[in-house]
Amino acid sequence: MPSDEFLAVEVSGVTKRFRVHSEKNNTLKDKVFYFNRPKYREFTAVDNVTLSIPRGRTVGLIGANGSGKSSLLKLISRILYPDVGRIEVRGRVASLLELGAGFHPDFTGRENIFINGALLGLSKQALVGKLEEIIAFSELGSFIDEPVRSYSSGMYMRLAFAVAVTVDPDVLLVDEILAVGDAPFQAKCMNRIRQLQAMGKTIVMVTHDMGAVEKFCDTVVWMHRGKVRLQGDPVRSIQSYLQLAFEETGFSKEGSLGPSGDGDVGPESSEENDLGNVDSHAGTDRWGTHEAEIIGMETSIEDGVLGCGEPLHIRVDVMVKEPIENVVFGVGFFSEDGRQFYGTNTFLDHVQLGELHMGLHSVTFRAPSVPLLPGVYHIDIAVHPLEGQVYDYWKSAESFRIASGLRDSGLVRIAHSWEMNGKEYTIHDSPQRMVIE
Amino acid sequence: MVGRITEVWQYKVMLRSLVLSELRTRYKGSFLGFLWTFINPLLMLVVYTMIFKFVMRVTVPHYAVFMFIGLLSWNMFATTVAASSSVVVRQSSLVKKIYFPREVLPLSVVGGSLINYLLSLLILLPVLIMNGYTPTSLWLFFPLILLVEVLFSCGLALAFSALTVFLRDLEHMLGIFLMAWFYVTPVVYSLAMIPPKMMEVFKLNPMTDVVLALQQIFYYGSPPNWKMLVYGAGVSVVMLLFGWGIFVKLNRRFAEEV
Repeated sequence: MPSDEFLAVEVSGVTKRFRVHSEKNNTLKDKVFYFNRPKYREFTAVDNVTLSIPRGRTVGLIGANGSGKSSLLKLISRILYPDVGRIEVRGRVASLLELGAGFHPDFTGRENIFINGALLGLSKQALVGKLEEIIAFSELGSFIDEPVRSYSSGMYMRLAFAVAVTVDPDVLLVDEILAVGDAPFQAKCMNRIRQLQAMGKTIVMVTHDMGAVEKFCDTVVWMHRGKVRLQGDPVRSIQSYLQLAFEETGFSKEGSLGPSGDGDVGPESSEENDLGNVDSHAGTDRWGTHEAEIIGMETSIEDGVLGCGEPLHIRVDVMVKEPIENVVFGVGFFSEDGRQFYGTNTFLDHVQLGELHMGLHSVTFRAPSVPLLPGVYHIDIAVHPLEGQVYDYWKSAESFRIASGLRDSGLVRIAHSWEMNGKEYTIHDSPQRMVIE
Repeated sequence: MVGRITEVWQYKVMLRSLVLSELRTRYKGSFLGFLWTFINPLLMLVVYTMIFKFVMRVTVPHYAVFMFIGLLSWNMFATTVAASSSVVVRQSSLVKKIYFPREVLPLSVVGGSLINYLLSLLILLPVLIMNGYTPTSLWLFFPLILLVEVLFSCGLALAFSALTVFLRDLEHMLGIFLMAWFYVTPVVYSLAMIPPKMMEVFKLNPMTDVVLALQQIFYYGSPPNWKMLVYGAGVSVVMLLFGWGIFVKLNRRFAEEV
């Protein structure tokens, strides 16, 4: 549990109710004649939500329309105030809930930069200093001195976004504004978000774009009817969310379930989890029939760090409750964004394990070299029969970080050498372990 | 409370930007543009002088000067109150979409009216001089009197801007209310014309104190009536605190109601 000063946003027990007026009841006539007869019904948009977001984290709020995610964002940005509960935000907040708020159609693009910037809390000096950068980012060229009313909607949004991303907050709240402009411009926006992430900013984004969530977010909070339904690692949350969304709309749950296509949806055990725990060691997502149960696991990973190219072994202790045949042991490696980049099992490797008697067994997976590039990785382990339901699937049973000074790009370091004109070159920066704390 | 003041201060760039865009858009697209800031009070001067001097036969000497002093000051007050009552609803797109201390909105209305008033003084000055009223040291009281009026306007602007969000009729009621208020303030007539029995009632009106003080320093050439001005200042401060209190209480629900 991270201590308080590492939390950028703390939402504790927040409830927000809206009055849905059947008719607008704001005139004197209504107040007098319908006194004591409230012509509205209450609608609970956010229902007892508790959430803490550590500093530097990027959190995606997902959920169906009307699930309360935008209301939650507005509560955090102090546009709305909670009826019950408390919200604390540490640091300067900038909320980009709408692009071009306060843009005045009669003024030129340049003038609007200053108006809009002022609304976002930017000082005049900061704006003057960044004016050229903003204009260049917006790709408006000479149009910058034309009144905004003559802009196309794309130009309008580009200018708005260019101003918006100049803000330099500690906490950035973003609502559904990433889908702006053409593909090259979008790429620029994504880059800017990446920059902000690299600068250690805390970002909370509401979006329906699951691709963006997967790309940017460390954590996903799935809102459902005003409550937090699930929070945790993006891939699993998105899967569960999409599955529910499809089931509710009557679509078959076959087909596009989620980005990893894995389709396995475990118990929603991480509900009410603290966000701080999410990427910490070993998640607790497990499911299966437990006819054989993983009761222990030991790896050669020390302190969660492995060097690139170092050997790895994983020993799994399994308790078998009644004699079983055709048992398969599997192991899967996943990158942080949930993509599986390697997976194998004893069946695929043609390892015949025979019948397992009741009692404790231990299986070891040995890899002489794990040539992964720096990053965070997760290992899934599983015991299952050749056919039928899995005995015990342990998602992210182990997580580790590859720490090394390597600057190669990609996920895996393919063993290689260089040769030119028949002369062999040796590679000097041999993959070595470098512990970064 | 100190926290809120510093927060409003942090948003002074936004405040200034709102005031400027309000001033700039007011006459945008009209042929005479910004000149209207000066033409309007001049035309008003002509109309009121015609009616009260030639139709109603008011016998105040240099009536145009006398009336103009009060009228400009009243106009600043009345336009502030009228415009502020709808400002939150008018700016609903901002209120719903971004965070800022909501006080900025009514304050921007006060700022806009204040700047307009100061500009209209450029008309008052030649009118004074043409009628033989040359600057005296008494004119130095002007900023003090203006401060009292601004505080009072702020108080009402805060109160009405917040209340109108929840009771939209206020905006329409204010028109008639301000008209009545105009006639119980000695702008077009002098306080001397009030029957002595009713004098005390008239003096309760803080706008009387402001207008009278201005007339005293510019027109009568006497120092302001301190008793009245201190009373006016007191009422203004109370109004400011009261209006602000209402605003603080109500502004949390603005985004859902507009």
